[in-house]
Amino acid sequence: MSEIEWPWQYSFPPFFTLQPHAETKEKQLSAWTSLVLNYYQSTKQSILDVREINSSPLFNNTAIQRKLSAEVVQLILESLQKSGNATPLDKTKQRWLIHWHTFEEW
Amino acid sequence: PMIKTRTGIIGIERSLQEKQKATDQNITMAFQDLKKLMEMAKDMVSISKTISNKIRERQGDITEDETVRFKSYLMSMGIDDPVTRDAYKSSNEYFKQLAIQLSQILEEPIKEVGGMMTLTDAYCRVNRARGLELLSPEDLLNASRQLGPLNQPLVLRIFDSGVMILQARSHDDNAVIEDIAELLDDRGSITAEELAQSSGISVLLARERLLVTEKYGRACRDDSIESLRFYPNLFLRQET
Repeated sequence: MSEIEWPWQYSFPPFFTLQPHAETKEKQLSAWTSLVLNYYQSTKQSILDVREINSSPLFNNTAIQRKLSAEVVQLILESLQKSGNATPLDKTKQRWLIHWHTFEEW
Repeated sequence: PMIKTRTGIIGIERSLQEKQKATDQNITMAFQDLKKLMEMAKDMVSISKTISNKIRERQGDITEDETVRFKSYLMSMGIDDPVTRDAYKSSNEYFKQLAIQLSQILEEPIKEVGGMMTLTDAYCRVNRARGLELLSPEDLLNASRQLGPLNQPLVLRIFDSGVMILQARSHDDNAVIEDIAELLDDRGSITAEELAQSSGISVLLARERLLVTEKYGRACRDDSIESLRFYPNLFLRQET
């Protein structure tokens, strides 16, 4: 697995708590979506299983002992779906296909 | 007359029996009086209801003396009928006077603790000072609602969380937010308890202050098992 350069947010504990302030939340989610895309591209993965997020270093930062809750992961995935970067693989929206590039970009 | 033997078991039993009889009588008498009192009160309630109906028919939002007097009648009986009362008078004359008194008593103490006091704290202080003629929580709340309209140096404020406080009119949220934002930068992060300790205010108020700072986008939260910590809002400050 190739090394990825983590953004500053990754070691900022509030990054792992969904922010109630609207504008802040927007910034937070957009930082997350770009981090997810970046991570999947550099580790050359394409399947994301919501049930396995705890074992992934992406959503579980052991260095600061914070991990993202499943609800927030769903929010991120939904916003990725809106931008055309993710597609759910099953009806319960547990498994997702992550597209490094949207179809339009291709 | 009967000869009372005061000795032996029989004597003790007899005196016990007499005592019981006496308390029995006292109790029945007390309840009889209470019943009569309640019957009278029932009449008063029905009368006041018909009066309030009459007022409703007349429909007026002018502060008439009649309704003022009527409200004070209601207050003295402990009947709460705010829905019909509120339409006729902004509030009772009693509350107005109480509000003025409250701001006289509390202005100094509130300034001493930094411009804010929770309503429960105010309740404690006022009632402890009064000794007799205590205020009910409702009286205090209703009086506090009058502070604003009466242009008193104190005002009632309700936070989003539902916590109610009295605050000095001169109190400025922005100044507090600036202070906290600066503190956050100094310390990196802070919890409500830490803020309470360092600035000598209650944890409840410290929490509200942090939440206000967050609401204005100057802080962000880190909710973990350990505690709810607040950080400077780097999301909005740092552009990457």
